Amino acid sequence: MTVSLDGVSKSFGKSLVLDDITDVFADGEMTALLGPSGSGKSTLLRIIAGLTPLDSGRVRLGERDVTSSPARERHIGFCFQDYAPFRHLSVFANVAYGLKVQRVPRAERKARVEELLGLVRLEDFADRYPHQLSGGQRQRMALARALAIKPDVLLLDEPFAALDAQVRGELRSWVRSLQRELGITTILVTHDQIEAMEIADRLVILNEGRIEQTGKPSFVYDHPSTDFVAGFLGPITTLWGISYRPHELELSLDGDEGEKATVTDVVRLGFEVRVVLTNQTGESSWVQLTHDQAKALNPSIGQRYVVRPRSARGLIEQDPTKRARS
Amino acid sequence: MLESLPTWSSLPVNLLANHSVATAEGPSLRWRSPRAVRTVEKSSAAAAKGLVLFYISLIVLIPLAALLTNAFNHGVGSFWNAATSTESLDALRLTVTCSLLAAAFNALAGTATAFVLVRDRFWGKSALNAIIDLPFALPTVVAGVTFYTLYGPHSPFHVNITGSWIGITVAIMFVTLPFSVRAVQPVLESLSGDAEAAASTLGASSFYVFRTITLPAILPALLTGTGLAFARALGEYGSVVFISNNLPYRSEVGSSYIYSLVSSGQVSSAASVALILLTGALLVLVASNVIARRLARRRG
Repeated sequence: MTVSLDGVSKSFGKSLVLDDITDVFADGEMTALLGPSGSGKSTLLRIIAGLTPLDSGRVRLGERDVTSSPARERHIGFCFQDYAPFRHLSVFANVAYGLKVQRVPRAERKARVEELLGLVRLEDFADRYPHQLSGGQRQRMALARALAIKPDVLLLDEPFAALDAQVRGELRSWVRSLQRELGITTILVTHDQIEAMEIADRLVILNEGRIEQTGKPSFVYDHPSTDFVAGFLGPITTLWGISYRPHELELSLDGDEGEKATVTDVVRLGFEVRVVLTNQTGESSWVQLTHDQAKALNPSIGQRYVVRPRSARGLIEQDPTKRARS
Repeated sequence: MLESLPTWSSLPVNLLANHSVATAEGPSLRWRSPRAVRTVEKSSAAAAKGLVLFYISLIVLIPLAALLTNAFNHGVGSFWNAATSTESLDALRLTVTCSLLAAAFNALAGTATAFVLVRDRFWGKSALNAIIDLPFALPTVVAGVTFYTLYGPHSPFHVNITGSWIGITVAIMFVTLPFSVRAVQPVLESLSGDAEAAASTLGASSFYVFRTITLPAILPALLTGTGLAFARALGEYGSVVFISNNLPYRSEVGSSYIYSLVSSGQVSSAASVALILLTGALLVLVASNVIARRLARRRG
């Protein structure tokens, strides 16, 4: 089911948290709301779920205007950052909660819960209590609980933030494949750009309560419309006052087109090597080399190179209005 | 056990020694080996234990022992006769009934008050929050006189509840209100509200959310608070004594019956009735704590 936001604004006291947000989340799509903390992304998610009232604007689920409907009537699955387990209930009872509310008969309820627990691979944990589960298991329980009501839309608030790196990676790809399998419209809030680019069909990048840019992850990465987006999605460096991704610059020992510069630092990270160079006027840029490129060039401090962009186009389309805004 | 504890006279010395180790700057301490320091720490920990035991004995254990001795002064038979006399049983029945009613009502009113204090924002909230503790600060006799003036024979509202269980219950309710509020309030404050929000996204109405999510979360604290309120209510005297009229067999609570026994020189009988009240209070406290802990353990 599509989710449409039309001019959604929200203030807490005097601070404007969301400023005129308009966007459409397509049916079956996985969208990441990406932004730094305080950008309003979690508030937007809660507004869609009906957990936080909005000041102005409309929220539509499919054709239905739910702006003034309470959360319980929206039929939206919501996973909280801390998973919000019902601590006094077993894993089974947690997942069964929504079905019990709907007065699904006991036998059917049991079958559905067992099916869901299988889906999230918690079959053997049905009788446990939330505090007896690991972070990842708790997260999966929360997901099963949200999916139990067969929601039209699934909202995930920083779903992987509280997990350690390895579990996070596994769960991420698992959630991604589960979402594809179920084909459920999903909106995920994250401040981690790698996570967002890995998991989402589309990014909505928020900053200070406004949408900076939306689009496919690879497109937004290559064509950021503002400095903010460029810097938030990945590293940037400048050459002749124009922003580039550091891997878009190349080094050669000689050549006419390019800037002559001296290596001032070399950082080796194993899979990549960062070379910092300073030109005669003292401006510095840095270039990201692959392992193989670095091997061929073997840069060291004091060495002189010619730096030039692989393509003439800078990272950000020069748009004076957008630049002035950010 | 007692021999291994340091004597009272050795206490200040040890405490002082520990203090100078904690701020070890004096040259006199520099030569001390870690073992010596540890010995000092160990002995001052023992001293602290001794101090606590001494204090508890002085304040609680010795009076309790005296009460027990007094109750059984003239043998088990006279203890039993005193405790189960008609007047005693009537007084105890009235006390338990009114205390139960007050504790139950306060469990409801106290929870509601805690909710308002934690979840609502309004003008004068911090004042209300401070007023909750007033029954603890106010001498209970003052409360008693106030209730007598308001709801006694000269009531400005023409409401006379003296000499009835209603008056007694109202007085007890006033005195024990803080227990329930203060037990539930911190638990409510610690709830993030996310579990409740999750329940509402699953389709639950606010009442259903309260019944199935909020109430189970606050139940252990509520039980403990109610148990405390009930135990406190059993022995309440000052606030009840005026409004109850103290009519034997009718409106005389346990504490005032005990007082009248002491006044007429029947100290042993008084101790017997007091022992019954005390045992009841203890049982309720232990039971409410055990149940609360069992409830809390499940959720880790």
